Amino acid sequence: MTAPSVASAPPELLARISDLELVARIIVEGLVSGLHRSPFHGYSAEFSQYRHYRPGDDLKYVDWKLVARTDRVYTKQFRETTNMAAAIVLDTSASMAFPAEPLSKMRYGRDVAAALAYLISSQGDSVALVTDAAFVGARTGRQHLRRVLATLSAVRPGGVWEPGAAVRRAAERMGRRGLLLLVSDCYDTEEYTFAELRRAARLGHEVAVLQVVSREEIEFQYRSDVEFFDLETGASLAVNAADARRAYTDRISAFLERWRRRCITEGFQYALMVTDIPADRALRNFLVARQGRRVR
Amino acid sequence: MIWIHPAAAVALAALAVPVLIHILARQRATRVPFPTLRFIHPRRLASARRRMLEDRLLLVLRAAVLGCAAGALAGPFVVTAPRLRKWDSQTIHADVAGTDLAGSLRRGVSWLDHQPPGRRELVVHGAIPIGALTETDIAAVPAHVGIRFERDQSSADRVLHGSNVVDRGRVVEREITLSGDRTSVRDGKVIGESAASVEFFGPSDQRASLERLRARFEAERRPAAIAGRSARVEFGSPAAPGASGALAVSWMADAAAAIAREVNPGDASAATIAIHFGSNANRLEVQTSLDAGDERAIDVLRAAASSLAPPASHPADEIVPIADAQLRAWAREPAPALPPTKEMIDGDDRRWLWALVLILMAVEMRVRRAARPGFGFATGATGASSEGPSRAA
Repeated sequence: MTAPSVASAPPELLARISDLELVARIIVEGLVSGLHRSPFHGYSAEFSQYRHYRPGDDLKYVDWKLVARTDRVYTKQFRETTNMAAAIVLDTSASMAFPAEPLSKMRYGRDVAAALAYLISSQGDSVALVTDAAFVGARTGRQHLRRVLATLSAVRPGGVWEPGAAVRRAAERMGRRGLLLLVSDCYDTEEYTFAELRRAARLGHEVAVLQVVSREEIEFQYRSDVEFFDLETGASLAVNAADARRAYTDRISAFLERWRRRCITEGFQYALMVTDIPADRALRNFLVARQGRRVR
Repeated sequence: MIWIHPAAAVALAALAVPVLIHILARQRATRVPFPTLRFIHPRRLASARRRMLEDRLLLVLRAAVLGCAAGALAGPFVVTAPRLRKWDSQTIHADVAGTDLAGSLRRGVSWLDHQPPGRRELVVHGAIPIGALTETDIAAVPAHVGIRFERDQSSADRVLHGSNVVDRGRVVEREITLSGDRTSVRDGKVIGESAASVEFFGPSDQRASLERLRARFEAERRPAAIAGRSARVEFGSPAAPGASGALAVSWMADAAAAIAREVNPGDASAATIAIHFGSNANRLEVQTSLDAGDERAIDVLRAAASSLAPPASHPADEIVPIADAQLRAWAREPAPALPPTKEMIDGDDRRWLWALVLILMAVEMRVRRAARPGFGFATGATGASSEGPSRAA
């Protein structure tokens, strides 16, 4: 079965939409249509209703007897009683405010987090949100989703973030085994963050790292003399960007590759999300890779 | 430091040119927010700072080149201790001599003002007679200028050439000997026959008197006339002057005045002699009502002869010197050499500044070339790199 071709919503368009729920829905509609089956599903469920087959649905839920009787493809839906718990840990440090135009990492990460929350919640799973200043516990339902989205709408980048502490809080608050999604640029306290991610994995959580970076950070497209000031520490450095570019790109490439390798080594799912790539496409790649992991 | 052409310092205004270029060419580093500085290579920061230093160094070098060039145009002259010692070791003398010693002294001071640096001394030569120099003249000499008097020994006993005299129809030289305060005159050699410089005549009825007068006049020693001058005296002339030309030549006027003064000395007891003057070509015409037989007729002829001779005055040669004690009081040693003024200097040190300009230009070129190529405001990166992670996550 071939997935219909759905155009991705460009990041610039999403950046102009203030309704986060709408943004999440646009992203999710864009990505779900490309998936062969639902990326998330609960661990056990009791039958709830039939519904028309939708691309992406697992064929094992197709009621073949009903197909034989009606010549229509229905899938069985179950009311998940022990559904999945997912916790989205969103980086709100000042470094996420970069770039100011057209789309900051904060906005991009928030959209991704909203889409994930929307997707998870729409499948009946519980979703939790952890930021530096806010914590929304893992629950299901539309009301809870709106709470999560409202919390996401209110987050603003600022200050220094301690991702390890946030990961630890999310892992401990989830209660049962679930999915821990870290959405961050991962610039802060790398070792401590990894230690907490490892700890979460040991607690039985599935860990996924969505590293959000901007094209400007990767390619360092600056010229002449530039005085860079650190968004988090306020420190500034004057440098000739043309000369510093080669060493910079080498270093950040090594940094991103190191994160990728360490995540793979630790058994975490890793996805690099660059802000100029539409969020639905990035999420679809992430979810497709996730399905591949689950199949294996 | 002395500047020969201080007006050239206007060229220092050119210093503004590199400064303006530096200000205009300098771009302030744009301040850009960035998520983290951890990947920016510290060595590049150092090179950025180094470039800023190079910029300043280049500015300083360029400004120094222009400043040195302007200084070289202004003609600097550095007063150093060795130069001062050298100037101190040499004395520049101005010799003062002549009849107008006071004037020569002033001219000597003025001349010394334009001489190369060194001690200065006025050396006064000559007999230095009384009146030639006064206390005021000496006081007008600047204090740093020394004064030395060298009395001319030959002036104590000198032989001068006096005016010639006519003695019995021959022209004889006269020698005047000045020996201290004594003056003696003696005849020298005969230098020729006397021309009839003074002619005289009168009415025919006075012929005998005229002959006697001629014999008496020619027997007397009289001053020899200057060549080209002559006079003719007419005795017994009517009271009204005869037809004759005006006194067009200056010596004639002088001679007429001298004759008139001699003949009519202004003595109230003597009767005034009528006398008229005129000229005929280069000859003075004298007409007098006096008879040739008159006792005063010879005075008229003597006056005419004297007026045709050069003046026998030697005031400059007749010396009464200033006392040696006074000259010693006025004399003084030259003071140490003063720092020179630009009028005293005939050279300067601009060649060193030009050499410095060349050296600075070479250094500037070296610094400019040493700056790493591509590390400049005008040579930034031209495009985005294709390096880094691919877009596909």
